[in-house]
Amino acid sequence: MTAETRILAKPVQGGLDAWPALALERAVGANEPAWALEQRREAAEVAARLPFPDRRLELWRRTDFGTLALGELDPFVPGPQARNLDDLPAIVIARLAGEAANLGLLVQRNSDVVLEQTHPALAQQGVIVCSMERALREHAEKLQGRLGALIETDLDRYTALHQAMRAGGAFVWVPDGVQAGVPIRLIQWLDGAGVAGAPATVIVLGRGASATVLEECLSETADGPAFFSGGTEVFVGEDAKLVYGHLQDWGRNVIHYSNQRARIERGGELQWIQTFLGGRTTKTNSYFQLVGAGAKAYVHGFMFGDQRQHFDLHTLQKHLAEQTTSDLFIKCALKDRARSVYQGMIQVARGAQRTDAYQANRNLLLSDTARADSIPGLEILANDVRCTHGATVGTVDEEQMYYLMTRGLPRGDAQRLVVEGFFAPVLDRIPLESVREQLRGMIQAKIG
Amino acid sequence: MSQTADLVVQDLHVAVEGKQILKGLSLEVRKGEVHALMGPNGSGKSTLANTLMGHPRYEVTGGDILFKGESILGLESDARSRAGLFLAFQYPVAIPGVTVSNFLRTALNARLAPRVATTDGSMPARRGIAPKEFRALLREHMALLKMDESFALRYLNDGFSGGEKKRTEILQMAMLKPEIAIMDETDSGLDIDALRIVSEGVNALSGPDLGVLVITHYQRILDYIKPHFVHVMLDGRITLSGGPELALELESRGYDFVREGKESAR
Repeated sequence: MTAETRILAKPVQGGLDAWPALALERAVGANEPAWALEQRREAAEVAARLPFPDRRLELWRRTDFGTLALGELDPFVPGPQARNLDDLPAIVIARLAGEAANLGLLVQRNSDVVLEQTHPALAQQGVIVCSMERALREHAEKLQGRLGALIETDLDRYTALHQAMRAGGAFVWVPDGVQAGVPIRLIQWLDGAGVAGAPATVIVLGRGASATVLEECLSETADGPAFFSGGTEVFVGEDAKLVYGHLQDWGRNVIHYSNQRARIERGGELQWIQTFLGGRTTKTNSYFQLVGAGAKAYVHGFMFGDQRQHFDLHTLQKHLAEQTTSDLFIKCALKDRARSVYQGMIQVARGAQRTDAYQANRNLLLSDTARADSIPGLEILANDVRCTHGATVGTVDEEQMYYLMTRGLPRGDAQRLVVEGFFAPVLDRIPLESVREQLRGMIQAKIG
Repeated sequence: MSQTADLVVQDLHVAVEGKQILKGLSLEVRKGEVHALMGPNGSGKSTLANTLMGHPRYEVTGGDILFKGESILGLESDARSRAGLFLAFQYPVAIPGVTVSNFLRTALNARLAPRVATTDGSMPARRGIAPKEFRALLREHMALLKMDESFALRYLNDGFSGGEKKRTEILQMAMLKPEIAIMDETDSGLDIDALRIVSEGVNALSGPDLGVLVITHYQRILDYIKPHFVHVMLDGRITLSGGPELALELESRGYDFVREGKESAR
């Protein structure tokens, strides 16, 4: 098979109700351990009793998936195995920018992981980068108590369905004290319209370990909806340091709903980068639990919407131990009729004294018809803490425009520079230069 | 006579939010000349500077501004800049996220001859001055202004001290090579060392190819930048013009003597 193969999605007979049983059947065939199968069964039961979320729920008040008829999509579209990089879709090859040999790399296409590439340096260090399917066969003991442990099954019906339907995903394991020698990239690809993907990814860093992991969502815009349901659970061990990026660059037909959770132990540090550029509607819940003293989470994100794109990000900075730090900064620029929702919450538990928490959301409206909603929140039960939050919504500063134009920049160039500058502090944090430059290019193209 | 001057301001009337600020100001600046425009606060000095540069908030209600023989009233700020006008701001604006280097390269490239958009409407990513050539040029000009090289990678005016901002203004002026430069209160907020460095920068750029209009409240900067002509502005007009000696007279006698002698001076 080659990258040019036409992959056709077709609705499952019996619709949505038939999905979980078929998924379970496949999982049994793949020899998933009993506990994982049981997890699927329980999630299916939860999904069956929950209605789809609607605007009566706080987290769904400003976002819905419109006319999406999930049951008409196909959650079992296979991904043709790639013998090598040449078999991957052209957009994926371009994204890797010739650097694949220096990575731990995993590529998922539709429901299947089609490429697993362990770098010799990583293998030598005992770092594991493999498909969730393989991990459940070969490293089940490392996954038990982690897979599905952080994401709440009953959060909503989509989340329960995701746990019942889970297909593909990655497992990354960095042993105690190991500094992963090369970056690890996990790429998600969907082929065209009608596809529903549901990978589950678990990333574990042992005590004192460090790694850089990027999860990237890529596809070509197709004529008709596709649905991506993501679930990523991240465990940062004591004194470990993880740089993690989640970069959403779907084609414009994709509806994206994902839950991302990170748990950071004593002295651990998480640098988290979250970007939304593609897709039709994106809704993501990213929660950070600081469970050990001195744990730190630095979260930086940007969204840039145009046309009728809709982005919804909900973050939770949960301080459960003393002297923990979280620093969150989300930037959003919107053109045309694009829309964004940012809902942020800082929670500080009773015992989490001397916590330092910061949350900022800046929104830049580039048209009269764009709209940004920003809903910050604080729940503080400790009394010796420093928490600050702030949100702004504004347009391009006319004095900045004037200043730049007096240097000969035409209005369009001046605006481009201001918008690029707006994103730069987040962009600068993207760990790989080739990825950073590609995102910069995408932003520039989008500014137009 | 007016045809030969590079910048000709003719009986300029300007209003800001309905309030008349400039009330018939006339001035001519030629390349090679250094003019000082002095006046107390509220006389309209910054209004003149920003009107010359085309700030959208300033409404020209009468008169004209000719640059190289043609009216520029219809031109936006960027076109005026590319035509050869430059304004060193009293309060330079911070552009967070945009490095000095990136900004200057974009500004230089904007001056290069016609740019052609690609079919999707975007501008080609790489155009204009070669990165290597640009870096050399930038280094050379920064050295002139005694600026550390790390400066190039800082975000433009973001967190800059007063002196750093003004030096950056002169750096831009040096890189963009205007024909007429207007310096709006460049001396404000500068200590003596910064003032000297900035003035030396301006002096190094001065010459037959550059006309300079130094707008200032105080005489102090004129110890460093020697004007050929000094104009005194009061209530939206130039009320007195003369040679360098006029600045010294203002320094010793204050603006009141101009106010008193206003009628006879005109």
